[in-house]
Amino acid sequence: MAAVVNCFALSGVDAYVVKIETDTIYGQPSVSIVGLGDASVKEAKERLEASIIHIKYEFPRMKIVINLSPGDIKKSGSHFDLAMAIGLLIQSKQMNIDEIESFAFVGELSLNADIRACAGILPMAIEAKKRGITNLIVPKENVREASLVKGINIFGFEKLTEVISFLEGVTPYSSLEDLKCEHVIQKPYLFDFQDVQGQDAIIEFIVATAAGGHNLIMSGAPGCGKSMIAKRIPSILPSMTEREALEVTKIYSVSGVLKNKGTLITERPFRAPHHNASMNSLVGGGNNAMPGEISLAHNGVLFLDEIAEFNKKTLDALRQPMEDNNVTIARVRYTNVYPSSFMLIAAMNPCPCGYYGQQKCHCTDYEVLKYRQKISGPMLDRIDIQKYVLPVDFIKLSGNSKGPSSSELRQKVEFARNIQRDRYKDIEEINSNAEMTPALIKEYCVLEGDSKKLLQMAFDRFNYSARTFHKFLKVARTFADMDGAEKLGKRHVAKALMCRDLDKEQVNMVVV
Amino acid sequence: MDSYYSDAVYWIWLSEINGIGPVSAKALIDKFITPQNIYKATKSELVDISGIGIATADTIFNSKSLTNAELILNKCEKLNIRVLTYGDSLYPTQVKDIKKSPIILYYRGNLIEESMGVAIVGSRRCTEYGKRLTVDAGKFLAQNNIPVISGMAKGIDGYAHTACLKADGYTIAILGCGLDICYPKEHIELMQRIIERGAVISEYPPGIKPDANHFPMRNRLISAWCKKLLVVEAGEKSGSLLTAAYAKEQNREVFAAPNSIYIRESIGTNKLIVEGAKMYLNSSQLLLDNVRKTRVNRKIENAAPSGDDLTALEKAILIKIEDSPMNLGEVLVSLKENKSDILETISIMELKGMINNVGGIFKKCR
Repeated sequence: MAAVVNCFALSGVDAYVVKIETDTIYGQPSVSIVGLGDASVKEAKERLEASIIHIKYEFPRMKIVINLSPGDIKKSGSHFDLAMAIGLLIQSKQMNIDEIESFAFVGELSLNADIRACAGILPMAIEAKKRGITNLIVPKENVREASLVKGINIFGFEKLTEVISFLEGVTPYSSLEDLKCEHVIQKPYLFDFQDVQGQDAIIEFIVATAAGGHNLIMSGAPGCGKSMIAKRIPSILPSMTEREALEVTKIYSVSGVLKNKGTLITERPFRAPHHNASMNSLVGGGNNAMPGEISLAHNGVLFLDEIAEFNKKTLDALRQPMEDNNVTIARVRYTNVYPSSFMLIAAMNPCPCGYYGQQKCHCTDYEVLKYRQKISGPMLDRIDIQKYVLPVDFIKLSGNSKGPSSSELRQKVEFARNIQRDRYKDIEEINSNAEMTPALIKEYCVLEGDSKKLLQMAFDRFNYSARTFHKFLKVARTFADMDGAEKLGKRHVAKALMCRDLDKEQVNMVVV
Repeated sequence: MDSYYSDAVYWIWLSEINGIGPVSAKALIDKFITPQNIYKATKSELVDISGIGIATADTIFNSKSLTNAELILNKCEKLNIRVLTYGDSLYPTQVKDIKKSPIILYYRGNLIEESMGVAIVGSRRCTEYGKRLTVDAGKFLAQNNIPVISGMAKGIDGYAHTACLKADGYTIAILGCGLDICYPKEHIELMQRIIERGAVISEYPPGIKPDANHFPMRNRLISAWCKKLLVVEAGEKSGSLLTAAYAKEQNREVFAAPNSIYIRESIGTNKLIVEGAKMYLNSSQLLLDNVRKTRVNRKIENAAPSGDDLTALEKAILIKIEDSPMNLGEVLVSLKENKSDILETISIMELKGMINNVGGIFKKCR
């Protein structure tokens, strides 16, 4: 009878149990691994043989068949090694363990029988707990990540021999270090809005962006501070809830980019892919349908610098994930769904030469429009706030005034977010003003007094489209929330009307 | 086959003969009245005309195939291109008088009786000043029912046409390529609009691509087609200077917009002024004597609010940006008021049309 050992494989950000069945049959000595493993799985047989021989155990001179069940799903990764080795040792009667089904093994083997770290431990631990597997054996480097999951025994080892002697009861497990205190350490965010000086004007709108979960596009000459501002936006977003933190950590775990040896990610992610990014790198995909930048930015900020330089098709691929807050990567054999609820911050130059409005700019109006049209309408439609960022000669005007600090701004954001949370608590899938549907806008964006007249004036002057109307109301709602106001006053609408810098200019352009 | 068609074939035939320029063609027309007669003329009849040598007569005699001309005419028919011949009454006499004006022109759109107007030309890469000046002039001409003539190039040319069209004026674009080609490509929409509301003209049959050699010819036609020429901005070696030179030669009045001596785009125009061009100081200089049909359908002016009904903050902001335009950040720093109040006020001022936001910089509206 074949030995059966538990392991896991990944599908999207979730893991599922893979039963590793090992059998030895009389016949020509050989190793075959079946169950739709890719090259990294197939190559395990070489590592297996070398490491078993290295620790002075016997590698059976028989026909060895290893089956990864379920056998109809493609699998990849080298983390099956440890489970295969244990299975083989059990099958060849060199080792005996009671209750093997209560254990699961994850880890890659080196030729010297060391156990190496691997990706995706967190979702595997979550799955183990769900399936009632009580003992999880992982590489030592991944212990911390695995122990984010409570209520399951996590054992971390460096060598195959240690695993064997632990399983046989020879040496009891000694916890490597105290893991608990590690979780609470929260590094201060490196970037603070205090460093941004003289940009008070735009910061007001940045706060609104963060407070209402809106998307933002900043336009400005090269070197005026767009990137500097964007990098600081995560620092004013409210801190992540534990559920959110776990979601983010899971995605990073699956992608194998978890830093700090697998502590929980508590900072909101900030991703800034370069504009030559391919569509797959952005939305996810590739050989194993891995998460893309938009998923890595989940619960955080996706910053697209020079958005006009991005491939138009690539950008348009972001539309659906932005709408649904998740992205479905479909391949013939499997379909992965990754969460992708991010805040889009984009930056671009106002015209091809970058100095629009300044003396040295000689771009014709047509060229300016053409440049701006590189971002498709539907994309711009999902961006509520468009603001100019300008270099400020603040020394001339004010001496050395410090900007407001991130923590101050975050309080404003949290204040507005709390109001929104209360407002939308009974409505599914809507958490912020930016996500309001037309029906909700009608219900919650009640215009007060003169504010309606103001909107009318704006539409007469700037020929806005009807859909822009909703945008103004949403943003005005956010400004009202920041003030704690119930209805949209003149002030809130006036500020919201300042959120379409690029659109406004279009009216004055000399083109047919 | 109507008479337009049968006539046009011979005109095209004559214009397409290699070695027969506008000058000799016109000499022939003077004698034979129609190109058809030239086609039928004997060699000795041709040689009789002064200016036509034996070689030229041979050329005419040896190229008696109408295939090419018919081909061109068919193409025109398909593309809705009309042929304007030297004999046509829509061909302005003042243009005909120019020695080297082509005997045949192709056009799309509608040519009106008095299609000659004021030409506005300038550099492709222009400054904000040039753009403003052009737009104002184009609008003014449109309001005074004066056709705006230009070359549909990027920059000044494009702005001139656009401003004129936006004010419901009549405009003519003269191109250096066949009328089935839009050069520069980005003006395809503008070209469409000009065809709807005015006309595009070219001396080149459809299919001819833009070429560096064509543009001086086109410039000569632009200067010929105008009564006054306004050069807005021109670099040291700008083609607009050539247009101005032709205009001078053709006895057209030339205006040049003065500008800073430190700006590259104004080297050419300032030089024109030195050389005798009139300095352009206000748009009424462009009025033509015989056009007195000023349209009175001016919109009710959005009069800037007088100082009385401004709030204290509005006044303060206006004073700040009056001399030197400022961006929002600078306004906020330079005024000590509450930030929210300033934002609200600026937004409302913008709506009222008191201030303007260009590239994030606030300017007082003129």
